[in-house]
Amino acid sequence: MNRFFDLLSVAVYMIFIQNLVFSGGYGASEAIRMAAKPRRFLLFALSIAYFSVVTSAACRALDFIPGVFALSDALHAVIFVLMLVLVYLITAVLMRIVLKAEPKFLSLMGISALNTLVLAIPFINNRAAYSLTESIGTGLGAGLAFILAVALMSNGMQRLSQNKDIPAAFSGAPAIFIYVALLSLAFTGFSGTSLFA
Amino acid sequence: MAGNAKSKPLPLPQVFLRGILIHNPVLVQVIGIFPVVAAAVSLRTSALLAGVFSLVLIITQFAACAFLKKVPRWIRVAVYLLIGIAVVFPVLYILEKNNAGIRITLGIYLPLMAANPLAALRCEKVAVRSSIKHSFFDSVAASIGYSAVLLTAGFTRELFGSGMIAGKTVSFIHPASGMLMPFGGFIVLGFTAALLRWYVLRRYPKLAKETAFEIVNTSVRVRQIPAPRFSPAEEEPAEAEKESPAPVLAVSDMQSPPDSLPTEDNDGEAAGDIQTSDDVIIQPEDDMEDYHGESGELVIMPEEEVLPDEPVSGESSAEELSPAELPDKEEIPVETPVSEKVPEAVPPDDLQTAKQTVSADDDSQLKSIFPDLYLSEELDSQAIDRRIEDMFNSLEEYEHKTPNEE
Repeated sequence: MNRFFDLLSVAVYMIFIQNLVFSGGYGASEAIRMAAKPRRFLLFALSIAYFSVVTSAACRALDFIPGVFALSDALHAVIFVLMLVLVYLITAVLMRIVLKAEPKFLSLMGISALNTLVLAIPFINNRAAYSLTESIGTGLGAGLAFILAVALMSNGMQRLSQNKDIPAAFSGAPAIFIYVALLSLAFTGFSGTSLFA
Repeated sequence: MAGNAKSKPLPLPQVFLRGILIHNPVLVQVIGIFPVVAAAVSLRTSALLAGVFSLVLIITQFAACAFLKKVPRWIRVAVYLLIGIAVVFPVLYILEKNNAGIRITLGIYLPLMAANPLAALRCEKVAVRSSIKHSFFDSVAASIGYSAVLLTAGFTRELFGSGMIAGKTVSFIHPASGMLMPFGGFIVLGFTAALLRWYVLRRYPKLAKETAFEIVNTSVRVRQIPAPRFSPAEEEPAEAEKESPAPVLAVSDMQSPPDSLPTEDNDGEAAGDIQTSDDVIIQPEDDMEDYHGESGELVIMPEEEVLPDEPVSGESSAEELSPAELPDKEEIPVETPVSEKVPEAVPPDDLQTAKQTVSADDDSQLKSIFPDLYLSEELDSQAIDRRIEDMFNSLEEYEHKTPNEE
């Protein structure tokens, strides 16, 4: 039971307190582009959650091997990337053969799997020395953080796109950046960082 | 423009102009912003990141162009990541051996450069569809554009966040540590993007459309789908009814993309692919294409077409009115005593019927009678109701006015 709460608390931490997209900037471009065109958004987010959970757990499990744990940071990076690619390829091949998924769907899955958000999770686990359950929590939190981020951005962008009072130079991407900056500022507040120390 | 790009590659200055300014990866296409936002906190780290990124992009794009054209797309995207880590690993290794300080500063950001989505985008859009030479120059242009943004962000954030320029403290700036956080990065990006957009609007007004960022309306989109165009000859309800299924179709129901959409074989640098509002709203279910933006650059539907203010004369205004707004508009002919050709017995809740019964003549007549109603910026029902009330209050004045304007 304790482990379950560990998992949950890490997930909540990843969603609200250190929202990966807003407080870390991980996968921000995917989130902004997905928020601008939220088609198959839930599928995309579920895919991100799946890949981050599996990769996170698999990478953490590898660290139980003493030889792997002792490796340097640079080699760890290679291992994490290889593990992510492996997870992606296995999933994609299974999807292709078992579920007869279309290549188009697999391409979308590729974007959701091979991005900074998913790849960052093993690094974060490694840095924070999270346990296996906590690593699953970070993976889960990453997927949910992405959903929250896209939902917040998407709603604001709808309004931005209809606002005619925005100066010409700021319309479009600049306004979106400023809007995301304000959201990011809000989430920085959740983490309790003091800006005026 | 699209045709030119398709038949032969753009001339070199054009490639660089577009790669660096018009289609700037970060500021215009909004891709690969993670390193800028998270890691570019000083000029030094920015320079390192820019160097690593340029290497990753140029090598990945070259490899994709040379070897990966026949490989299925879903495998290619994984290969890009592998190439990325193969490029980043030596840098990581050397830094780890020699200089621990910068490794700590860059934290986990440097290895994450391997998964830069910009490399995947440029490869998919340009590299696998064009010659090695074109692909190389494209990657160099994109690298310069990306590096410029990284360095600008690094310089600005170092100056305002740490009060330093390239590691040397300056006295006249009081550091605001917030600039070093991701939200500071977003703010810097926002203002830099605005600066770029301002410059492009002034210097290259013809290309300004290409710097727009498309936002597809979702919750409100259903209401904003314009009714199908039907000519004034097809005023009869029976004829119009044949065309009626189109406006209620949700986008997901559209099976075939319209002809005017850029096709799959379109060159990635088909820069002139500005879509009309209709094209943007009714899009194919191609998620990958869609997610990356059609042919690499992002387009926006002109705002006037999202919320049309003034109907085009000769065409029915019904085609531009959103179905939700129609009932409100529909009240105008019903309530105004002047209009003669008001269709009778229009059930206000039936949008289809309502749309069909607004004919072009009715509309142009209405327009001539209430010019300022149609010119009004706001189209919401309350405003229209208010206007109508005002007009009724000053009906006498209006009767004087009407013949003059007609």
